[in-house]
Order: sequence, then C-alpha cells, then structure tokens
Amino acid sequence: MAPLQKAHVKLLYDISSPYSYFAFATLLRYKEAWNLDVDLFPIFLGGVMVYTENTPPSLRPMEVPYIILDKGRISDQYSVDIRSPPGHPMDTTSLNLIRFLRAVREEEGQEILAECTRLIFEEFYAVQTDYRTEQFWECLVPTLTKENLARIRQLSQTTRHKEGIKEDVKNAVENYGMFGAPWMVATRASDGKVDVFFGADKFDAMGWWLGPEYVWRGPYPDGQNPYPIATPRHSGIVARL
Amino acid sequence: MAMDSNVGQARPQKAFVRLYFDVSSPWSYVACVILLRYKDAWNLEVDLFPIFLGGIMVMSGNKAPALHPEQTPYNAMDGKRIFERYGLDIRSPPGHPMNTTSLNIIRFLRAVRAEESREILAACTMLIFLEFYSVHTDYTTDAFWECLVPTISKEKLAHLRNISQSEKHKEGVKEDVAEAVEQHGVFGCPWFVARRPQDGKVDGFFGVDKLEAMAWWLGEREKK
Repeated sequence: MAPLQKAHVKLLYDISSPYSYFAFATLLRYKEAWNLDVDLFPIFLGGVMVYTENTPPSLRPMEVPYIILDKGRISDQYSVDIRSPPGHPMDTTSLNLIRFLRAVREEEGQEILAECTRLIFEEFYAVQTDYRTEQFWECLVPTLTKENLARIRQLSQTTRHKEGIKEDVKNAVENYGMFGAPWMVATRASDGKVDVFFGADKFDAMGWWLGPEYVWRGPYPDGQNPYPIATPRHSGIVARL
Repeated sequence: MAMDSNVGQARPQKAFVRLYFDVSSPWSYVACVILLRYKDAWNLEVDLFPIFLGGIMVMSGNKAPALHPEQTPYNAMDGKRIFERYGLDIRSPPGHPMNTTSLNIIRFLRAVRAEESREILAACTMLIFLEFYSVHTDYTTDAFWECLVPTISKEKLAHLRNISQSEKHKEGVKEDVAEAVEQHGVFGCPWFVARRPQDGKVDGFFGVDKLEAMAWWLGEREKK
C-alpha cells in the first residue's frame, strides 16, 4: 500500500545528462507507489559545473569507457532507450532546451512539463533528431498546440528565462549543494526533514531514508516491465580475469 | 549424487566476484561487508583483492573525492546515511584521508592473500577496517596490528608483516595497480569485477550503489 502522507521530491535534471533521464523515468514510475509529490525542475548542468568548478565525467578520459558500459547496462535494466546522439555531450548544449522547459514549468505546470520532458528526452536519446532543427520541436505536438509551442519557445528566449536559469543554478548550488545531475531533494512526510541524493542509483537509499513504507522494488515498482524497448542490447567491455 | 534438499528453491549457479578495495576508502568497507553478507544468498565466489587506491588515482589520472571540495559536504552526508543503514560504525580517524596512507596495510593484506585462505583474508580485512574506522587505533603503531590476534597467531602475524615488506609484495602492489587499471579500467574503489556463470561474461561495477545493478546483471541472460 502506498504511504498515506505525501512526500515531496524535487528532481533537478538536465536533458544533456543521460542519468537524469533514468532518474526522471524511475521517479515517475514510483510516483503512485510511493505517493510522491514530484516537482520536476530543469536546470542547466553546464552552469552548475562552471559554478562548482566540477569536471563533467566526459572530461575524465579514464572514466569514459566505464560510463558507456554503465549507461548501456542501466538502459537494459530499466528499459530506457538511451544512446548518445552524434557529438553528445561535448559538442551539444542543452541551453535552449532548459530555457524552454523552464518556461513550460512556469506557464503550464507539472503535468505538461512531465510530458514535454519525456518527449524531449526520447527525441534526443532514442529518435536522435538534431535538437537544433525545427523538426526536433515537433515531437511536442500535440501535447502542446503549435501555437502554444511557438509562444513558449519565444517566451523562453526572453531575459526573464535567460536570467532565470542562471539564478536557478546559483540557488541549486547554494541551497542544495548541487554539483551534478540528477540531483534529488526529498522532504520526508513524517518529520519534514530535507535530504539530497545525487545520481540515478540513489532511489534505494532515498526509499530507505523516507521510511519503511517506501519499498524499493527495482526498475519496475509492480514487478512487471511495461516499458519494453526494441533496440539492440548494449554489450559490456571485454575484460579477462 | 545426493538429493538436493533445496529442490523447488532455485539456487543460482555460482558466480565469481572480485572486489578491489582499499582500507583508506570507507565505501570499500561498506562494499566488503555487503558482499560478504550476500555471499551465500547469491551463491558467490568472493575474491577480496586489496589494492592501493593512491596508486590507482595516480595511474588513472583521477582525482580523489577528498580533492573535490564542492563534493565534500555531500559525500560526508551520503556516507553517514549509508553507514547508518548498513549498521556500520565508520568515522574517519584524525588526519584521514589526506594525511594517512594505507600502503603498508595493503602490502600486508596482499601477503595474507598470497599466503592464507580466503576466510583468513576476509577476517583480517574486517578486523583492520574495524580497528581503523571504529576503534581508531593509530595505524602506524604496533598496537594497531594486535587486532589481528588470535585470527592469526603472533608468530604468523610477525611473519606476514615481515614478508609484506619484501620486494615481492612491494613490487606486487604496483603490479596489481597496473593490472587493475589496464585490464579492468579501475579508477576508484570499491570496484567489483564479476563473471556470470551462464555465458562467462565479465563486467565491472564501481561503487557500493552498484550492487543492485550487479545482481540484475548476474541473473541476466544474454539476449540475441
């Protein structure tokens, strides 16, 4: 049975971060089972990296083969089709996507934001339409009407949102200690305590921290896999013992 | 052949898991404990492999978490949470990690691994972790090593400490680092290298948070 009181979880995520996609998918799968009030919060990870002087994993050459392996494995385990499009992550930027999602969050609310986020993740990692083209944005129709899409895109390029994403970065780093994505800020229902969790494999720990009724059941809360993907399976690195 | 008393209870085939760990890494302590707790339940052949993390960092060009100041508060908080959850008393002793070195301890554990059984190595590893993170005896003193008696006798302890300072193990520690980095891509600790029985595939897992992924992967059949 789902917990009676609602726990609040804010997910700070960026489209450029494949682990954000895993966290996003998992959080929504657990929304009902854990009775979560989910606050999706798009954030520009490039800005967080600069602000915290952190180095993204893709700039640590030793880690790249492991990350490719790990991403492929999670992709299989969670049935989330994640393959980096050409040039990702070094020659791509999510700046405009985050500005756009920020505007969606403000104008449309969480439900539409969730749907837009899912469609954008899918278009970026699975369909791999070039995110700089007009065609990319068509993935959002009809969740948004063409008119509304055009309006929000235009709005997202105003000073309000351009400056807004900088403030968001500053607030996330200063208030939540953020230095990477995905970053989850959870508020426990029982005592109102707030704690943060970094990474897509912290759900188990977050469930434990939230309380005994938040049982972690792996990628699929009901034990079934309703999200089969039809892509070729990823394969591991070759190593010998 | 004797009848299996567990008929109907599917028991997984034995899988092999090597754990690269260093005493300087508190997360390695957690990984050792959990892996040994799951050894029987998951039917694992556990190969504890002491490795000098300082060497791994140098060779892989990686930077220790303690050298990322922006990450220190989160790591401290995350550690506290994990240690509490797994019921482990892990508190860094004074000067740890920047002014301590596990080099002699790793040389010693390497000698234990070469000379003694896996059970003795596991027992010594646990006692050393406990002495370092809970009892806080200064690891540079002789008193520290007494935690290993009577798991190994005083004579044997002296013998192992002695040979751990031989060329064989001094060089061996370096060779282990080179092998871990070059063959398994290790750039941090704890690092699991698992081999699953159904298809002989080998895969690496970094960090205590990856145990669940490892369990999933061990049970996974290769799909065409």
